[in-house]
Parts: sequence; C-alpha cells; structure tokens
Amino acid sequence: MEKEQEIWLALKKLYESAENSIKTDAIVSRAYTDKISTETIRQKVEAQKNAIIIGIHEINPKFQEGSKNYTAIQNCIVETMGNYEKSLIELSQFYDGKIEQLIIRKVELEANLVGALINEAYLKDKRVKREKQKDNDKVKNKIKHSIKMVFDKLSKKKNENKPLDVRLMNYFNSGKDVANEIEEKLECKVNKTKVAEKDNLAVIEKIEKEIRLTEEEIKKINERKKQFLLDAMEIGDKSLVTTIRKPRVFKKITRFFASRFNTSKVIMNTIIEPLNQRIEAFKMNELADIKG
Amino acid sequence: MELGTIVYHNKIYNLEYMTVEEVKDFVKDIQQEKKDCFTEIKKMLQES
Repeated sequence: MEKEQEIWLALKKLYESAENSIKTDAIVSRAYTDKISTETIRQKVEAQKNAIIIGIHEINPKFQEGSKNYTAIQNCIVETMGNYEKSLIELSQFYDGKIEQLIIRKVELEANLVGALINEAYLKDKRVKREKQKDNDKVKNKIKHSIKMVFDKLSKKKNENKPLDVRLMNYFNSGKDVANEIEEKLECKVNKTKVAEKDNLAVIEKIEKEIRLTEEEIKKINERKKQFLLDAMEIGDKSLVTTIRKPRVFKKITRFFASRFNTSKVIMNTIIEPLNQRIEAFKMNELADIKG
Repeated sequence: MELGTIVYHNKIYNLEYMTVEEVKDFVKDIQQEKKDCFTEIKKMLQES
C-alpha cells in the first residue's frame, strides 16, 4: 500500500512539473535555434564587411571620409550589406520554421508520454485489484463452499454404500459449472487488463522512440542550417575565414597603380557589383530551390 | 525574434543576453532533468 502511495505521489509530482518543464524546454530550444541563426549570420556579415574594408584598402589605402564619392560608395555598401543580411535571414527562417514544427510535435509527444505513464499506473492498479477479486470473490467462494459440502455428503453416502441422490449429484454438477463460469469471467477480466497493460507499454515505447528521433532531427536541421548559412554566397573554396576574407581579384591591383584609377568606380566594379551579383544569384537559385 | 526571460527552479534566465553555448547547456540540463524524471517513474512502475 505504501509503495502504491509512493507511486501515485510521484506521478502527481510528474504531472505538475511536466507541464512546466515541457513548456520551458520548448521555449529554450526555440531560443537556441534562433541564437544559432543570429550568431552564424552575424559571423558571415562581419566577415563580408571585413573583406570589403580590406578590398577597398588594397585598391586605394587613402580612400576615406572626405574622398571623392565616399558617401555614395558608403551608401551602396550599406544597401548591399542590408540585402546580404536579409538573404541570410530568409534562408535561416526557412529552417527555423521546420525546427519550430518539430519542437511543437515533441511537446505533443511528451504530453502523450505523461498520459501513457499515468495510464500504466492505473492499469497496474486495476489488474492487481482484479486479481485480488478473482481470488476472493464472495459468490464464487460461497458456491465452492456449498459444492464442497455436497461433495462431502456424496462421498459419505458412497462410503456407506448407500444409493446416491441424483438430485444432489445434479446440484453438485450445476454448482461446479457456475463456479467455473465465474472463475472464467474473472480470469477474462484479468487477462483483458494484462493485454491493455501490454498495449500501453508498446505505446510508451513508440512515443519514446519518436521523441528520440524528433530530437535527432532537430539537431540535424540546426547543423544543416548552420552549414548552409556558412556556405551561402561564398566564393573560392567556400570556407569561411572568421576574421577576414580577401576577394582574389584584389591581388592584381597594386598600390603603385592606385592613384591612376577612379577609386570609386573600381570599388563599384570589383567589390560591390560582384557581391550584388552573388546575392541575386543566391536569391534566384539556392533560396528559390529551398522554398520550392 | 525577442527571446525574453524565463524562470526555472527559482532562477531567472535572460535568453537574450545568454551566449549560444550557455543556451545549449541550459537546454541540455532541462532535457536531462525531464528524462531522469520519466526514467524514475518508469522504474517505480516496473518495480511495483
């Protein structure tokens, strides 16, 4: 009895705490997903900004505030970087949407698991009660007792070689049949509960497996999203250097020739325009493919 | 997306200011606690 009470108290505690912990897990998991996106995008945007700064410096180290067309170039860069970041955000939102659905599914599964565990305790309780009832059924025991009395009478008559009362024999047989029928019905009830218990265990196993698979899927999509973000709109070997990235074309332009060029035009043609083209190509190809 | 704050075990967590690693560890802790709770219940039911 004490053990039973312990279990029911633990289940009560589980039920009360489950709602809070399942909800908190969902909120924090969603926050984690968002953090991965923002952190990766921030890294990429910083790297691209650094690449632009290095590139401009390589074209003309003297190009700064006050130089000809500086403001125009600055505005172009701001607009381009805005588009760059927006494209990355769109890509991350596609994956974050999928992850959100999986998190919601996980919440449903965990709520079902709590229900199934409570059901398991209930079915166990029911089976034990039915087994006790089967052993201690008053009607069955009374009939068995009466049958025994009749059997004793019949045995006595047989031992004394007296003729057996047919009515008594019929009474004995009928009693036996009734007792067997009651026993069968009670056994059937116990078996039904056992089957329900077995089915419930299978349900619990299935839910747990699905929760595990959902968690793995969420992890995989987060990793995939991070990799796609890092690879997006990259040139060359597609690896992202965390501090600076130098577009290869700038190595051709040396400082010796810097003063002979229209700096702002060179910056537009060799830095800003190629980046704009990469952004457009990304939107039209990868982003469009992903969205379907 | 605004991440806000949550209260867990009488502690306030500001998700906005936590780093990726901190949030990752926090998720792990919550999920582990939940799993332990479910495991304990299952163990009790099996032993009863």
